[in-house]
Parts: sequence; structure tokens; C-alpha cells
Amino acid sequence: MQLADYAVQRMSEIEGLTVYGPLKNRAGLVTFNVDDIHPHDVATVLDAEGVAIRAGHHCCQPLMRWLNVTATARASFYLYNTEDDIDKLVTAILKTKEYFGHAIR
Amino acid sequence: MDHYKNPRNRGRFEDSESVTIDLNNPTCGDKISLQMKVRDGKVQDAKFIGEGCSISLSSASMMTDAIKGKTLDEALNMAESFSSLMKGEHPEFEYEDIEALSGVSKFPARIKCATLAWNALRKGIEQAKEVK
Repeated sequence: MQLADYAVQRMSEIEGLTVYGPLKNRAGLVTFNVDDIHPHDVATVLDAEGVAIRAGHHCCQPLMRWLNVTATARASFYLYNTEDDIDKLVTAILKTKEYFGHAIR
Repeated sequence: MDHYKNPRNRGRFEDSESVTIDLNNPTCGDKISLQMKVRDGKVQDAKFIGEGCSISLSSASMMTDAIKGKTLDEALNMAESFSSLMKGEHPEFEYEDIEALSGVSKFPARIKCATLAWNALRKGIEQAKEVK
């Protein structure tokens, strides 16, 4: 939970990033989207940077409809994750924005 | 990337003289609705609307551009070539932009994104042949 709080705090610093759900006291994961970049594109670039996340419907299409999105990206944490991993995640998201920024602006 | 930023042939035909194929990819939520105007066994025009990632939209954009003016069999051959491109082979395309998607074959999880539009094309060709 501490990790998730740290992740939300760091990810909120990223412009154009939306975090879904409560901002505090979350379970050990963070669901998010980056403006104008499809979550599967986010996941592919993150993968290339050595960061593994999940993207898609997460088997809950009704929730996606309710959120009014086609899909979301989701980073989840376990015993072996550290704050350092979250810093790497943030750096990789910024890289993703830079990579796709050329295409969408 | 250019095809993602400025997709070609996005839209709908106003009249009903076209074949429409709706296809989606349930695992990721990508959707495509492809329309083709087929006359005398040739694809006169093609348009699509859809939502999805950079790969699926740019693939649809290139595909609709590439099949214009082709016979149904030529278009089907192109779909076959595209499948082999996704298997890591190197077929040549008259419409060279398509070869830019060859890199997708290295990302097994993303091949389905690139092939969505082409699968819609295959279905469209089947439908158009039945109508005749």
C-alpha cells in the first residue's frame, strides 16, 4: 500500500496522466492512462524499457465503459518491488510520452 | 507514425452500395468497421472507422490505401503477404509503407493489432464474392 501511495504521488507529477480510483489507501496497484496514447502502446514501450505492466480491459469491460475509456494500463506491485522500481516506471512513462509525442503533437 | 497521426480513408460511405464488416478484438478492445465498394470484381474504394492503438489504426490506414483499384484476388494475395510479414518473412509490397510494420513481428503480443484490419479485409472479400 505504501508503494501504491508512492506510485500515485510520483505518477501524478506526470502531465497528461490520469490515475483511476482513490488517490490514497489503495490496494497494491495503480491503474492509469496517458493522454492520447493507447495503453497497449504504453505497455509495449515500457516493456522495451524493462518495466512490465498489464494493459487492456482487465476482464472488466463494464468498468471500462463506465470510465468511458477503451482500455487502461495497470502497474501492480508485489513483495519484491521497491520504490526504485516505481522511479523506473516513471522514467519509462516519460520516455513513452516523448516517443509518441512526435506522432500526436 | 504518419499513418497514425493522419489516418487515410477514415470515414463512412453515405450510400449503401458497399460491403460493411465490423470486427473487434475482444482482448484489447480495438474495433474496426471497414467498408468496401466493390464493382466488377475490383475494390473501387475503401473506408474505415475504428478505435485502437497506433499499430491497428496505422495498419488499417495503409491497408485501405493499398487495396484501392485492386481486384479481390489481388487484395487477398496482399492479405496473405501481410500474414507472412507478421511471421517475420520479408514479402514485398507495391505499397511500400506496409513494410514499416515488419517490426511488429518481433512483438508477438502486438501482431493481433496489426492483423485486425487485414482480417476484416478477408471477411469483406468473402462477402463481396458471395454477393456476386
